Amino acid sequence: MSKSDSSQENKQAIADHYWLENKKILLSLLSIWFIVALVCPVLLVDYLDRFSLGGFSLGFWFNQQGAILFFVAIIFIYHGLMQRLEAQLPAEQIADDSQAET
Amino acid sequence: MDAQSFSYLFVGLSFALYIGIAFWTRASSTKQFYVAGGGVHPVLNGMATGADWMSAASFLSVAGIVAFSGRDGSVYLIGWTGGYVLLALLLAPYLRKFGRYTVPDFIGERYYSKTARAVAVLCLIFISFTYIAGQMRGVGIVFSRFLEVDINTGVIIGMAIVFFYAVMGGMKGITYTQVAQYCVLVFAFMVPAVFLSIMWTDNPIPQLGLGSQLNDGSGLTVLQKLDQVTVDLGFSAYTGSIRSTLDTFMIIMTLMIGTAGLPHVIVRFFTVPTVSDARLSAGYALLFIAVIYTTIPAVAGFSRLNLIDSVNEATYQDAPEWVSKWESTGLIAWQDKNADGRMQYRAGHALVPMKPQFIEGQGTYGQRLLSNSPSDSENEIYVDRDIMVIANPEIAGLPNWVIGLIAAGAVAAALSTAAGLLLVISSSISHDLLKSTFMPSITDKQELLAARLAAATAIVIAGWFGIHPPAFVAQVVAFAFGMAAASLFPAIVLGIFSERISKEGAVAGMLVGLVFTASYIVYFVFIAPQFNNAEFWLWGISTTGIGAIGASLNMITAYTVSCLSSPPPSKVVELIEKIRLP
Repeated sequence: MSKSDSSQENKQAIADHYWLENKKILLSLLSIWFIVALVCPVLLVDYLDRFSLGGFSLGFWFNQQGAILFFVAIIFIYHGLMQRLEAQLPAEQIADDSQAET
Repeated sequence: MDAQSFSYLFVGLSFALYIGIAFWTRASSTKQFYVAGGGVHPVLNGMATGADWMSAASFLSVAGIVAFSGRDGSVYLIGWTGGYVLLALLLAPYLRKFGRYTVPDFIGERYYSKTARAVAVLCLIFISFTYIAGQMRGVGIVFSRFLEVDINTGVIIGMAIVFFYAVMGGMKGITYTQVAQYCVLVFAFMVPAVFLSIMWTDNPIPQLGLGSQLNDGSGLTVLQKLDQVTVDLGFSAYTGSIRSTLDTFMIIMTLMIGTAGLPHVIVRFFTVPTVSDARLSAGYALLFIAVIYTTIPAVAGFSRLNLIDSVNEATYQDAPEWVSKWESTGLIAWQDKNADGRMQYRAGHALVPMKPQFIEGQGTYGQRLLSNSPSDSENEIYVDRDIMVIANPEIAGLPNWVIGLIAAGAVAAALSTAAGLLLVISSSISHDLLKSTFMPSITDKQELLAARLAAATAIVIAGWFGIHPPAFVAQVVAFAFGMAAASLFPAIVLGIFSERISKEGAVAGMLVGLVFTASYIVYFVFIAPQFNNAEFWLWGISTTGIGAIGASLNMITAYTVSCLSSPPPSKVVELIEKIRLP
């Protein structure tokens, strides 16, 4: 096996690992998204309404404020996790778009 | 100074600002025209996306919808914000990495097919024009209500302003104008909300105010009071729901997928420098939107209380001044059914037909006379839901400058969305139809000229829709979201996350999703409106929620057809692998 072959394989392995990790992150964050967007405010609303939070019944709070706040958090957490993941990638595998495109 | 002078002043100042920005940001290349050169800071892009996304409807109508339907109105709050999660996680980073200018660009390349690109252009143009007609109308309405100019003059003034900065500056001009527009509209929305919150609860933060105790010494919280008065007047409880769980679920799903599939929102993430910035920018966009969207329920709750408090059982003569003012514009109407001189506000429609039809002359108490026949309900008052935001400053007795501010905010919301939509229409014509399909030999300069001409034409068409609005503007909003959900979103997501989807699969999927959703909506809204209720709907899913089913059908079809056809060529597989890496 030549040297370039093995570095090619190595690159592929890193790319595969990155994609797998990315999918894991997506899956877990999308589950949270589903829970705060549809489970809490819709499917479990009557159950959650038994609890209260700052003057709101909890199910109603998820409907009118909670879901939105969680959405914002999810995106920022995603950004953070992906930045950490990308920091592990070797520099040559990250395309420098700002220069490649102009 | 009176409210109208303030409106002129604020709207005039904001226009001067937008024109100034247009001069400063002229576009000199197609890249600047389509994606602002790809160098917009993520925070600024987030603000621009917020303004782009928040339409005249968001600014004026959503609070009204929530005010009148309580918890059931939340579907719009959740659906229109939750879509950003899908956008940030499933679309934005990969499309930014792809690094081209339009949504059909991606679909055309990924599915190695001009047919797929053409289908995407078709969906895009349909979705965008549906949307833009409403925006232009919104501009006209704001002008006519606040500045008392003719609605058509209002539309033409709005067209001229958008023409100026969209045609000259393209995406670059639009982006920086939208940043300014966001600032105008967030300020305009928050100021009255803070006043309202203090008025009812002494808490200056509207989000917390909605959960607080009333300051009238009754010991009730705002929401308890709302539940109490709505039930007393025969409405369903404010924090309760009358919609079926499945329908609510589907509507939220459709609005979320539809939001993520809206071309004018997606294209905003082509303008930032890197993939990582695209993610961050989606976060900021939603944060800026959340500032307003978490305030909306508070505005809704307080204004519903205000309305009931100041109108119900009041005599017409003693009613606050704003009642007759908005009656004169046709947003409020009163029919004294039981001839007691008092305005009874109850559940149900007051009038048959629902909208007031005024006739010459005044009643015993000076109210405008109506030709509508009374309905069975005891309700005597017609209230247009848009009034909740527009009339709020007067209802709450706020200073005149706040009214001027709302006018400027509403115009900003309508113009920013219209400009964003115009841009995706013009770029899909000049770039996807001309450059990529019919006239590949044109130079960058010619393409830029074509883009400007297309933008100019699109503005004229949009203006025409604004002056001659199709009667069904309100209904077609369901259309735009259903179509975006059922056509573009699945095609893009599958294109990124599956290497197996072939061009046959994608085209078949888009067409199935599109035809199913469009025929369901057309049937119930236009052909057989008498059947448009839960009894006849498929599994009780309303036309607003059907896009989610369309999207599922799209995905199933795309997958099945792809398995039966030959896999994508290796060049496309390489492209997919490339966009998956940051």
